[in-house]
Amino acid sequence: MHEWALAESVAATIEEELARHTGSTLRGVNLLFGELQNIDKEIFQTGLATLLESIPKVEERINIETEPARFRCGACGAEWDLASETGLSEDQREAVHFLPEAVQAFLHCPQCGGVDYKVTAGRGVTLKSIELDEPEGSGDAQ
Amino acid sequence: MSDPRLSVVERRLAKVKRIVVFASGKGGVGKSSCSATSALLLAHNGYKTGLLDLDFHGASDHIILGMEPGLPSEEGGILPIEGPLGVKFMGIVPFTGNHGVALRGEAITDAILELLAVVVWGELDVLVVDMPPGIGEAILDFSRWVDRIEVVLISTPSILSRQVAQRLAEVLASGGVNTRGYLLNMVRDGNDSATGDGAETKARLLGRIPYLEELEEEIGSPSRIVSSRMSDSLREVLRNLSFELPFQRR
Repeated sequence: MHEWALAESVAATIEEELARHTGSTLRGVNLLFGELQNIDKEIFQTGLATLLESIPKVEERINIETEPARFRCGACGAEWDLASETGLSEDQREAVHFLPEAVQAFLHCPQCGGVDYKVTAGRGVTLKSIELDEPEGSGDAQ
Repeated sequence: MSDPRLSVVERRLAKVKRIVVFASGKGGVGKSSCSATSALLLAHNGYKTGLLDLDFHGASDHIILGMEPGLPSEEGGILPIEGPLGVKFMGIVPFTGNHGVALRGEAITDAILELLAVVVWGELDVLVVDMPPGIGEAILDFSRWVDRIEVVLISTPSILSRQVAQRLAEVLASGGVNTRGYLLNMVRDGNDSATGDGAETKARLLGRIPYLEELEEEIGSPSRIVSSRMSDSLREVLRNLSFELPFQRR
């Protein structure tokens, strides 16, 4: 699944972070899922947990929040959200799921009808933070 | 926090032996024709070939290949679409169809990074990349995220085109990008002596392609393209890039 590829990118970043902080352990990873990409949370979470299976109780350390999608028109300044959009077909939703920028081929500004707008929030997968527990005694080094 | 997608870009391209990027300063110089024709030629000569169209505003490689790509399949990521002669194709068109997409800078960067992070190319001998014209997000981002690229600059014989190509070459050189040389496209009798004004003297000339009236009629017909005069000229360019192309024009 496509979610697997995105989970791989997050897993790789976590592994890089752990490698940079020798001896540290993962306390938590905080992710933001953009509403626009409509990632399957369960598939992603299972994929990420599988990729990080060497970390004990890793499922409990993955925190995912969803961010609503927001748009702002460059022409008239109108702002709107995805909830008010019902015009996307199933294929178009699937296209946006694969590539969020594809939305600009299908949606128009509800105020002026323009297509020169920006996705201001809720695009795709964002890694907000990785929390690590440093090895015991490391704090005394300073 | 860094963008996690950056962590897997090289991994997705790990089994791609060579990455050849066609770029230009000016538009309308034949990047799509050269990219798509090169991909077909390489595939025709037995190379496992991919074609990535990063010209989101002017996407047209699929038209040259005679494809109408729909949504791709998934398997551990997004799979490129199998095109003629086995060319694996990806770009924005499988997702947007024939609609115009008003993408600006940050959105272009995001879309390119998304494709690089989720498209599973698998084993390829060569990935041909078609860039949009100019010194913009696509060439700057791609060359920063993917090392080992080999850039081929395309220009017409016009001084306007060659001087802008030279500016692009300088920008790429400042970033340590490997520019293999340039090719002159749309050469007419009498204007193929593109030397003497210093506009391209720093790059190696990889080949010349004449102005071809018949090119328009060959669009969408891969079997005609691989035996076209365009292909005859591109063979020289590809051989100068150390590709072996045993098959001659039929």
